Amino acid sequence: MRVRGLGSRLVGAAVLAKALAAGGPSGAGPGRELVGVAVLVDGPGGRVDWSHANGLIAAGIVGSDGYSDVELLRPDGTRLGCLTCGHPQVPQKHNDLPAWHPSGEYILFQSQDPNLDLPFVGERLEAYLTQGGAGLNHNLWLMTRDGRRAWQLTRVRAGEASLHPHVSPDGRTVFWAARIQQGVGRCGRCALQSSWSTGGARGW
Amino acid sequence: MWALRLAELVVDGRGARLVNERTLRPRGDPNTFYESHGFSPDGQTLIFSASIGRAHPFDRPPSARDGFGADPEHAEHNPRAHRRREYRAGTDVPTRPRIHRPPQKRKRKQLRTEHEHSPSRARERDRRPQDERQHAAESPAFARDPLCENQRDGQREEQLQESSGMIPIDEWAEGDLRRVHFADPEEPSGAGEFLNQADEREENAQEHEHDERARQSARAAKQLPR
Repeated sequence: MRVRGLGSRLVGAAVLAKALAAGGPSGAGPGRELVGVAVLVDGPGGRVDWSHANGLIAAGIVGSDGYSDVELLRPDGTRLGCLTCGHPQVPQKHNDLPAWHPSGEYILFQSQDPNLDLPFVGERLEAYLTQGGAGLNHNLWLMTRDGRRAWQLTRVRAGEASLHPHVSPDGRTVFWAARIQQGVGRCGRCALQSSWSTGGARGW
Repeated sequence: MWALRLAELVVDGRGARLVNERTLRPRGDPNTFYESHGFSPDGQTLIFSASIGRAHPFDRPPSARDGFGADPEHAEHNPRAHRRREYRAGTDVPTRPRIHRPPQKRKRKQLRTEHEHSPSRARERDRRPQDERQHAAESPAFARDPLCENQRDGQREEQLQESSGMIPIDEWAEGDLRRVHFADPEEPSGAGEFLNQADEREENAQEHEHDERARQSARAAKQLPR
């Protein structure tokens, strides 16, 4: 059972941590115990993925501009660099939800399209819906591990979404959740009704 | 409308791109919200979560949102509904899916006439201003804010009740799927038991196949006296 929105609360918790475990001779099984927790990033962040191929951790870290960016870390917490910060090809709003390609050579992630907005919903709700955990107006991008090359994989329209992408173990398939617009004007109609129901017609 | 998507990733001399995109809506309901969670280790099964009987806040029509009157022309904040929502948010216990239908006007009028002078009605009238003041104090950002409904919906994002589902990858098909195994959303620990108790997995999967009538029959059978 999952509760949506947990991701955003974790971002608020502002800590990335790694649990250290010790076990029996095999290192697995019921004898494994938690022996410590190492704080990797003491700041707003979350949505991590640990590559089995190169041992590096990719995470969405919120920068001083308030937008998330994809950073690489070593398991000891060493921050190797921000892949999307100031990248000439990648949009400079939210870049989040990184997922390693099993080869360890590529990172799949979400990126908010800066040319799209969510009309009629208001700034606060737009800010909520366009962060990585909601994924509206987000496209999928692929980037090399060194950050030199990036490719946009999807092209959403305003109000559409790409959320929580994953790469299959063989690296050949991508799986994600998407919001698809069913028809023109649906969003606008709902927003108009919404303003009525909140008392907008009474002049609040 | 939310859906799950699959595509083949191609990286070659021309760059990277997705081909053969497929859209899946395992529950068949256009109001269902989905979130992808990954592949099985062998890459043959997808795991995802899906909301039960609730649309994503961005997709819900105003008439389906509790906390406000159903009629957009004569809407008013309903403090009783707001209390109910807070209670449910605090319990973190899955509840049965509910469909919020606007009450019929004739029925409301009749009730008002019958109970206008009853003691319970009088107590409710006395309590209402206090509830509204309390609500405003607890969430001042929402008070008489044209955005309040949208903001509440953002918070209600946290309350989407989801169940986990798994799709055998050899049954990928465009559109709705009928052979998806769902954990029971009405049992709080159902998902965990489903994953950990291999002996019961197949039985549970069969019991909760995506066939609403079969699910209802199974529930009714459980309630029969032994």
